[in-house]
Amino acid sequence: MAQQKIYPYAVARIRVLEKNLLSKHTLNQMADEKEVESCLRTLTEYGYESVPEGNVREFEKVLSAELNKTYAVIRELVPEENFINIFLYKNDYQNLKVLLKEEVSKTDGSKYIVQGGTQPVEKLKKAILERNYIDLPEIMAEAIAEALELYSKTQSGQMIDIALDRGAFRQMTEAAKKSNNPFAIGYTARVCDLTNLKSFLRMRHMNKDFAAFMNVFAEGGSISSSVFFGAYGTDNPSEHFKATDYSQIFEDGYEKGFTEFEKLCDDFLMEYVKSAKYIALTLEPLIAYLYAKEAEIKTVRIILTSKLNHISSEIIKERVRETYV
Amino acid sequence: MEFLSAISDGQFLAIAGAAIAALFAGMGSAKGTSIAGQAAAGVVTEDPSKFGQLLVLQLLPGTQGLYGFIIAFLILSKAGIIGGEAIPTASQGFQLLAAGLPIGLVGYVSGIYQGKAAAAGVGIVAKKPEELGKAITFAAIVETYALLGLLVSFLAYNGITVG
Repeated sequence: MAQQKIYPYAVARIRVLEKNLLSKHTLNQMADEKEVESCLRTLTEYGYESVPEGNVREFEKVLSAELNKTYAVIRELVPEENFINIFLYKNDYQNLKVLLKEEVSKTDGSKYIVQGGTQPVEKLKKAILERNYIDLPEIMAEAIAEALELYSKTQSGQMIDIALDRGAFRQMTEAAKKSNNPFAIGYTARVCDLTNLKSFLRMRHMNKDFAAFMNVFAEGGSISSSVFFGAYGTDNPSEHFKATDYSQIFEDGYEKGFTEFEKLCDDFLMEYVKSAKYIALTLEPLIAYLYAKEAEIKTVRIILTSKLNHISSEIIKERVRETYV
Repeated sequence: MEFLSAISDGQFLAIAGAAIAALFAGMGSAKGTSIAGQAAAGVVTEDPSKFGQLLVLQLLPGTQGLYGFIIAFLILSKAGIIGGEAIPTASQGFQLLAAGLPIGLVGYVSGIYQGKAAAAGVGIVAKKPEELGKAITFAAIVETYALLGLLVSFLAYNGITVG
């Protein structure tokens, strides 16, 4: 086994920062609060920026600032490591979707643009405008070209999403390979598998055929498309996933509907990531921290949005995910 | 021929033994305290109040260097380099050289590994400062083997009669 590089300073700093992660208990308390304002106050106690008075609907800015702060910390700690790209590429692809749709539909999508990608938004804009992708990563260039080609054939905006999502997963898998870290590679493989499982359920629910499923199939997971093919037409797909690592998700969640299934998928990934908690010197805790923070922000978004829409605390609590700490 | 007689000189061999003890044990400690120190610095960046507790953990892998130094000092004094009158013969020189090996080699390896254990302990203190004792215990277990190395080096040294 090749010796892994050690990062005592970075891991120790992350250990301290982990103390500021929201526990499941705290998140449940937030779900119990009557006012959104009290939730936001809890967030500031844990290091989030505060929302300007009376502007609770601006919370999205706070969450995005927090996420960018996290990316910045990791970049500062290990500037020579590139595993962070595994997490950043999805922001690029989100922006590409917005930009391409802006172009084909001549509408303004700027409010959907996210910060924190690997490429500056301006650069993406320019590349699309000039149809010149020479400065972009190869997989990204191919995905844009494919998206435009599919769109011109079908005139369907959905095809843009499909082509870019495929590209995003390929890019992510490649970034994991480049990072050369087994933990990161295992993480992306699980992300791909779980995405496929969710698509599988959704597509079956919408009565789409297998070809439609294969359109959204993310390469890079451990479950091959043939397993999905075998399970697709049957009444009891759980049987077909018995031999995979994900059999428990099916057993617990298949009957309970999509929201619950999605939550089980997130919890499964968290369970994997948690194994990094007990590693003292190598990169794993940094990767895990990034995921933990992203997951935390996702749950906070669910809570705040639900609060603003006056959904009952009980239902919100059911949606609160497992946390890293 | 002059070269051969120089390297089989008793005093030269004794110095080589002292050098091995001081060199390798010192290198082990330098690496170990550096690993633990980096981890401690990571915590202090976010939480300076933990400096005192973390310093103990950083110091633990520093003892190997000290042990190596003690053995080196003893060997040098027995060989008549610092004080003392007796000059070792070639075979006594080889004996002193061998006596320096245990603490030198065990000190090198245990210093590095103790540093890693101490860095892991820093992770405990980062989250639960009240568990400092446990963090120290884990790192201190590694110390046992450095001590055993020191003991063997010392017993060997003690049994060698020079002159």
